[in-house]
Amino acid sequence: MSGGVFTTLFALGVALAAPLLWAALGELIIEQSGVLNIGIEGVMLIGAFGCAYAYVRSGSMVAGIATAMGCGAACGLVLALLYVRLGADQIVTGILFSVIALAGTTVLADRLLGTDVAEKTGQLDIPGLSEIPFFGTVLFSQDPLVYAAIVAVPLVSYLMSGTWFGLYVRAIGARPRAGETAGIGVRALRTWALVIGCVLTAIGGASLVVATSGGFSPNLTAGRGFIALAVVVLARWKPLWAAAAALLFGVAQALQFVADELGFLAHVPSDVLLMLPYLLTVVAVVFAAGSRYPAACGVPYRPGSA
Amino acid sequence: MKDSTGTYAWRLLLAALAVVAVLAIAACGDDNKDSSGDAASTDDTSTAAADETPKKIGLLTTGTQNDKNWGEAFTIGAKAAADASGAKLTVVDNLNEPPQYAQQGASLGQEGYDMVLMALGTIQEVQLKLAKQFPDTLWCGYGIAPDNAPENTCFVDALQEQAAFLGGVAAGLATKTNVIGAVNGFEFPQLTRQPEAYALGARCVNPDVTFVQKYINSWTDAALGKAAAKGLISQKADVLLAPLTTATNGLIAAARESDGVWVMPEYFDSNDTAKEVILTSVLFDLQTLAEDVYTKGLNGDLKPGEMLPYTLAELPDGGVAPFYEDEAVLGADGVAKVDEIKQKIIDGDIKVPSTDEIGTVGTGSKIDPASIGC
Repeated sequence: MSGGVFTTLFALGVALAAPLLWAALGELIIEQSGVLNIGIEGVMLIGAFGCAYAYVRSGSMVAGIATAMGCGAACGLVLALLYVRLGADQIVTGILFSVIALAGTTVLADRLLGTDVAEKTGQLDIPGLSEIPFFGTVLFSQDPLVYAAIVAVPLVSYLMSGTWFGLYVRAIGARPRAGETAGIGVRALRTWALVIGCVLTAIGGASLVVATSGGFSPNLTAGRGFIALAVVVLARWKPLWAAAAALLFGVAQALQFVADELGFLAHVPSDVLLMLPYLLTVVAVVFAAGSRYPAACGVPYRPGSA
Repeated sequence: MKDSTGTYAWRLLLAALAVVAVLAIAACGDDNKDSSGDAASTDDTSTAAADETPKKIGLLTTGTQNDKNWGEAFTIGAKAAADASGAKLTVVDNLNEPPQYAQQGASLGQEGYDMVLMALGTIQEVQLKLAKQFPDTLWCGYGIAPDNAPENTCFVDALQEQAAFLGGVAAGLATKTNVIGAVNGFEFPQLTRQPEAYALGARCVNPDVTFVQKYINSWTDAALGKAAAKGLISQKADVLLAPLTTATNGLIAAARESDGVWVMPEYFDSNDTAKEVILTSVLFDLQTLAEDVYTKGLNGDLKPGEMLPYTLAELPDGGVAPFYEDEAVLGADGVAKVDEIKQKIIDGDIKVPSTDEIGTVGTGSKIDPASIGC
């Protein structure tokens, strides 16, 4: 019986971790380029709305995900205009972007989508593999975007560590002036980082939609973007660690749903279990005291400035 | 110099775009609000005496005006009352936190609204403060009247435990595993009475039933709703009550991914949303409740601080929605049993415990069904 409980716990944990992981992967690319995107929650929301609208109206999950990616790219360009081109304060702008995204998606969902949901959910059992005890349920009986998130981890890791793009991005995130002297277009590269990062973040929003029958509701992301910020810090900007940190948050969140079946947790007040993921967020922030953000992260860069 | 001029131009352009975007969103929102209010006021003006100013009524609610849920149910009732009386109606929806109700309520109070209904069970403190602050407005709230309620207040309560009890009867007859569950929003008596009455209703017709439940501290987080539902399904629960708003989508997703699991949404007949997994919906007929309280308030038929409890007998569409193509799950005898028990509740032969008795976690599994007339 307890084997079943742990299977459920980790299966739920992986599902809850996927949106966080997508958002964290996107954010770590952006932050390593020297931009602190507090608007991550807004990007997730816009991605989720775009996905829900296309998914529900077309009935195609692929169309939904593609729309979310398009929304993410558009968000990246808008944020690049604000953060990179205009040098706006990244914290204030990011917060306002999230607030506007919340209001905008709420109104648009009310007018364009209502309570409509898609006719199918996204769960995709991998034939054969999903039958494997424990791992089959935990890893191979999930939504396509959960599988894709797992695949995205090594890809992003390679992008940031094994390509010129990653090397240059990390260089301008640490010393933009030196990068410019070496001939790197800081603004252009930060724009690309924002576009790619926001596409991944928007897929995180889409994964919430795909997993829950394709509908949208106001504030669907419920603060997951902000938790992803903590995941990035906890992971110290490493994709593999981001996967582990996201899983930690996911399992912590799932714990409340199986606590009754775990003898040692059965009598812990449910409020404490509800609080656990957020407690972990605080712990992550404490950890951040020892983490080193990319040196130029959050500092607007003006070409030619010292 | 050239660069700073370029940046300035960009900023101007951006500011202009931002203003256009905000105006567009605002226009959408205003249009939305007007659709419920101004249409009614226009109709009224034509029927009211020329020198008579139409009365102004407000609805502050959680959920939205087209959420096929709590918010839409109250909006429909408010519109019906406004249409019938010629009053001007303003609906402010999607309010979830007490400060939002305080802010929007104060705005309506300042504008001299005659009556405001605040449709959320956890904001009575705000209601009482607004009643003191704006004594010329009648402030009605969803909940039980406190002692010494101000004169310009009223309190409404659909006895939700009765309809939820009927939902439990249907679940008790439909379950194949003898385990039923509920994924709940927040733990407070007016919510807690629903899953507890649901458990008691199931035990009324099926003594072998066990009940499992989770609170997710959200009405709208579908991902958490799905995770909670999957947790309950792993405990063999096969009929899930959903005292939630849009988080119900998560339960629907979980049911779609499992075999033989049914969902029972609340507030609105949601069969069309996902016919293949929705057994029926638990209905409180909040439309009739809202229409009735507005009508009484506008006609001056309310006593100061009056408490209006609405039972199944007073809410004709309360109970459970039709089973549609899922009637076979209960069978003809099962459907007849649900109808029979509804009639017994209306007649008083079955006395569903009150909120005081069943408003705490665990009570639905402890009360002896025989003691209430089962």
